Amino acid sequence: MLEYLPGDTLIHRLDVRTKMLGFLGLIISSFLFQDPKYQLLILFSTGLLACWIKIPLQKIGRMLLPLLPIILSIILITGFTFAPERFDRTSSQAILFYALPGDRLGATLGGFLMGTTFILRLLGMMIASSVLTLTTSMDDFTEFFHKMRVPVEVSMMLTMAIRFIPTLDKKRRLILEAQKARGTKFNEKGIAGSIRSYLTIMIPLFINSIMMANSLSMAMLNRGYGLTRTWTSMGEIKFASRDYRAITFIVLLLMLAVFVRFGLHLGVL
Amino acid sequence: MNNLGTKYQESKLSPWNVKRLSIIAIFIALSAVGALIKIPSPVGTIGMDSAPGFFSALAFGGLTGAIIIASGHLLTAAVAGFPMTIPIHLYVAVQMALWAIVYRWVNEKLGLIPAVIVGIILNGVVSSFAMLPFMGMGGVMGLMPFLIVGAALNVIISAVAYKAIKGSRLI
Amino acid sequence: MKTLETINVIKRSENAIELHNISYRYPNSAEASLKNISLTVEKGKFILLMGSTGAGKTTLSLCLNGLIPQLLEGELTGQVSVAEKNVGKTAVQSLSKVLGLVLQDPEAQIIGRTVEEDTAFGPRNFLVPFDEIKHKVNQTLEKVRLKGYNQRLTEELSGGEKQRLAIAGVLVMEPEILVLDEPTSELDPTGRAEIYEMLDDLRKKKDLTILLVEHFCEELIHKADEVVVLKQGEIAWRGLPTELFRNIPLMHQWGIKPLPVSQIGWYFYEKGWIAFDEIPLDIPSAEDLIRALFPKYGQGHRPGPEPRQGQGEGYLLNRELSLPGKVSSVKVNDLIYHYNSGQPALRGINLTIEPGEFVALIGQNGAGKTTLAKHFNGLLKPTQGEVIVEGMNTLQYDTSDLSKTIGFVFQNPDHQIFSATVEKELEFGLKNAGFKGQEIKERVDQVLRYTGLERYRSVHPFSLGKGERQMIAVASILVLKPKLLIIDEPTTGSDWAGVRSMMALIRKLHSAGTTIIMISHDMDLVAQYAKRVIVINDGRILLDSTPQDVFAKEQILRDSAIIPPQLCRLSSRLKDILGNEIFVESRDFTAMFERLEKIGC
Ligand SMILES: Nc1ncnc2c1ncn2[C@@H]1O[C@H](COP(=O)(O)OP(=O)(O)OP(=O)(O)O)[C@@H](O)[C@H]1O
Ligand SMILES: Nc1ncnc2c1ncn2[C@@H]1O[C@H](COP(=O)(O)OP(=O)(O)OP(=O)(O)O)[C@@H](O)[C@H]1O
Ligand SMILES: [Mg+2]
Ligand SMILES: [Mg+2]
Repeated sequence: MLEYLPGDTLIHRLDVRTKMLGFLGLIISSFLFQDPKYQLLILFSTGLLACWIKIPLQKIGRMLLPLLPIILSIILITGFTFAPERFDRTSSQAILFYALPGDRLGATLGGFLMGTTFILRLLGMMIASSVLTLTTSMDDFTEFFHKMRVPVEVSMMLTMAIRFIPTLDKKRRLILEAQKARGTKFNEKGIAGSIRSYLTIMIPLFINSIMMANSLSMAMLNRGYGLTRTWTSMGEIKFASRDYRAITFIVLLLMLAVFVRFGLHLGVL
Repeated sequence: MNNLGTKYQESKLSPWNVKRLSIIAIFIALSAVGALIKIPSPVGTIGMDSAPGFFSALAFGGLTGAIIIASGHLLTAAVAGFPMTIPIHLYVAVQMALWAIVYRWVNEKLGLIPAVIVGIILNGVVSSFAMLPFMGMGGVMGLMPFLIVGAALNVIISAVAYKAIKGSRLI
Repeated sequence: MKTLETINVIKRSENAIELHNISYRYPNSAEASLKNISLTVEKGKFILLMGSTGAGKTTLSLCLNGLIPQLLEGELTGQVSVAEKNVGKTAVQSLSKVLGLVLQDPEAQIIGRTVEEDTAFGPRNFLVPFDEIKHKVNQTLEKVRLKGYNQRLTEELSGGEKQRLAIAGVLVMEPEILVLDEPTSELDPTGRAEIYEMLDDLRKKKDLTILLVEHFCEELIHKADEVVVLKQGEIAWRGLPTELFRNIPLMHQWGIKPLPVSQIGWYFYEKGWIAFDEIPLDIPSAEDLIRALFPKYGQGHRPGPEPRQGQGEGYLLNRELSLPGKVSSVKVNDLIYHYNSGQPALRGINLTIEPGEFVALIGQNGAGKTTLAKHFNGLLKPTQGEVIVEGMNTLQYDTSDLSKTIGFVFQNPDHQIFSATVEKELEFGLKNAGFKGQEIKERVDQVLRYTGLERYRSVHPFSLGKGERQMIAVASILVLKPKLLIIDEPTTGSDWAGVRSMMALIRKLHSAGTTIIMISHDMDLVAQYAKRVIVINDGRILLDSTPQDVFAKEQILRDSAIIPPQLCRLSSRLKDILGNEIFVESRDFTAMFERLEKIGC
């Protein structure tokens, strides 16, 4: 769950706020450009970052696999559905072929390129978010919320939610075992069958969660939570000189991207 | 709640708010755990990530449900590494919050069965069309069956569970 | 004027807890859960709060720190004050500085991700400066014997460590009063003793007032200053522990499990052989007593225990005689099991259990008992070796198929109950197994009668107490008429009455021919009910024999955190009188005096 990949690279050491800024910059520049070539460039640079922190490859594979059908359908469907008028460049308006007789449902070149852009953007974003979450500890995130003036309740809630995922997951496993032991089958045919058998897990899970929430609220009150709306912060986060350098770098890159897109009018379709 | 003339001006967060906070936290976590429960269906496996949110809308109130379902969606997405990019997940989260509120509202006005139908339509059909600007018509059509089945499973399970638990003294 | 105030303060500060006429009713229940409770507790005392399930112990603890009425609604009348503070007028959160409450379930009380983060949670809310927190955390962790655990993940702590961390979490706020609600329910005997030791330490060193809710008591008699017994929301009895634990009829009346040695003592007392004050409360005094009385009333007789079926040599005989063609209930060959990570949880188990046996699996927390039991119904499949149950190799069958012949009751009933009525809950398993209409109805009726749950037939299971829910969980397995029944800690958190009715049910099933495998940390139960005891230690079988044999090996057992039942320890000390006989029930001891009497008359 929201794993942390231990390491000591520059990215690990950067302040969480710097990383967030970089992440934001990446999103913005990725949405600036429609041309797949530029997306490829962005994807490549995020890929470099990923290699730098030694991301486990199979993790990326596991993330990608379920998306495969959507990826394919996006490319195909965008190719057919983006009307030629939506592109600035004439080259993109070119119609490759028609899917239906009578010149209907034409596939534009721009459409396919746009589809490719969607995919590349998606990949880039996936890798970037992994890099961010893998190199930032939970405490840093909490501290980030704090610095962003997110109300303490909200960051408390999120921290607590993340803390209880493993506990509830253990409950889920125990419940699953208990139900299997009394003969519940989880491979029944049809939607109605599935609903019936999965209810046997979901209902106890809800019940146990309610009971757990009751005890949790008592435990928090028992320990003074809510007496004041602040608390002693542990492990203060601080900008180091490397952060200022990184921030300058990010801002420069972003300005360059804006210039290329609007000044030179490049990267559109 | 106010027996004995209890005063807690000195505390900024009343015990009741702490309780709400812990319910929200636990059910957000449950949404993430629900995503790990994979129900096989004709259109692929469906996670139980929105059932906790829909359930809490019925059990603890529309607003609580909305917060849970939206944060639950974001947390689940975060755990998976934001597969559809952060902006789209935010957009979906806002929608889900809205659906949870409507679900609760219909349940109060018309009853549980109409609420289930409305919930499935909103989360299955309307949510699909809401993706039009991002994926085009093709994306919508590709997404629709998946969303409808997913919505049906999550909404129905939340409704049946609510009915089953309502009789106890837990809610 | 001034002096008067000072006197007042001094007078009041001697009382840590003052309750005046407390009555409380939960918002959704018809009857009051606390009725007219008045209680004062002096500073620095160690109070034991006892009583049967539903007596109101938890409810009372919640009143003490203001969670009732500030979090839980309902009707509360009366006055509660702790350490000079009026609980009704002080926010719960600020009360936590004077009264720390440790709840029943450690799992939901641990808020932080690491041990240090969790312990720091309280002081952080009070805005204690960072450096001071560090210092306090380390100090507290040392007190609860978790020194050096600072960076450990709370998720990965063992049950006992979690329980100690929960105590650390409130202790770090330096309360004057500590209230603990059944803090040891799932621990092995050694773990339990450790927690009690720690509490005793804390009290001596820090002048802490302690209120402990507990069903068990053997180790506590000499630690507690006073016992308060609740019954149906009222204070039924209050006094010295020795007074209560010597008075067996009183214990029966309040539904508290008596000490086996004092049961023997009570017998002597009734005979008029000893005075009330001489009723023993621990093993040495029981030993002395028996040594003193035996020459007078029991001399000349080398008594044996009442013959009980299947016990002792008889059991071994049965096993030798079992025909080769007959199918064993469980046959485990060279079983090794690894969880995904780390050390193997089972390291080479060989085991045969014949039909009709009553086997107890014991061992310390984390020894591998549950892991082994889960192999018997196919929930876990061997990493190496094989498990054959009722002639079926678990590798070839699904758990849901095995469930028709093998019943498995888990420790926590709340993991399996999901129906809106008790009746529907029982029908569920039968429907899964493919039974129809009339057959279902008949079986459900039969089991409801058998388990005494008939009156709850159409009640929502979650409006019942935990003991009853445990019974429902057992009943929902019994409807399937399993040939082999596995029960994982069936009695944790139950009171004595609950334990007895559960065990009576299990014994009834056993005599009807069901093979029973029971996992338990309650050695008294194991000694009394099981016919064969298997000790698991670190994934291996350490001992496998009759209860008498196993419990005679005190030394070996100590290494696996097991303390033999009181009477077995007593028997070992009385070897010169009893020979090699190990008695497991108090009536075995009294019998040797009784028989003499009959002859004498
Ligand atoms: N949330 C609740 N709503 C309504 N009634 C309750 C609630 N909690 C407890 N009760 C009832 O109050 C009574 C006292 O319960 P309490 O939990 O204090 O008992 P206890 O002595 O702690 O028992 P145990 O040994 O099982 O923990 C019981 O009759 C119980 O059914
Ligand atoms: N799901 C799991 N994943 C990994 N390790 C586990 C899992 N369940 C148990 N273990 C480990 O296997 C070992 C045996 O655990 P098991 O639950 O069988 O102990 P036990 O004898 O039943 O203890 P207890 O008396 O506390 O119930 C322990 O070291 C435990 O940490
Ligand atoms: Mg209790
Ligand atoms: Mg176990």
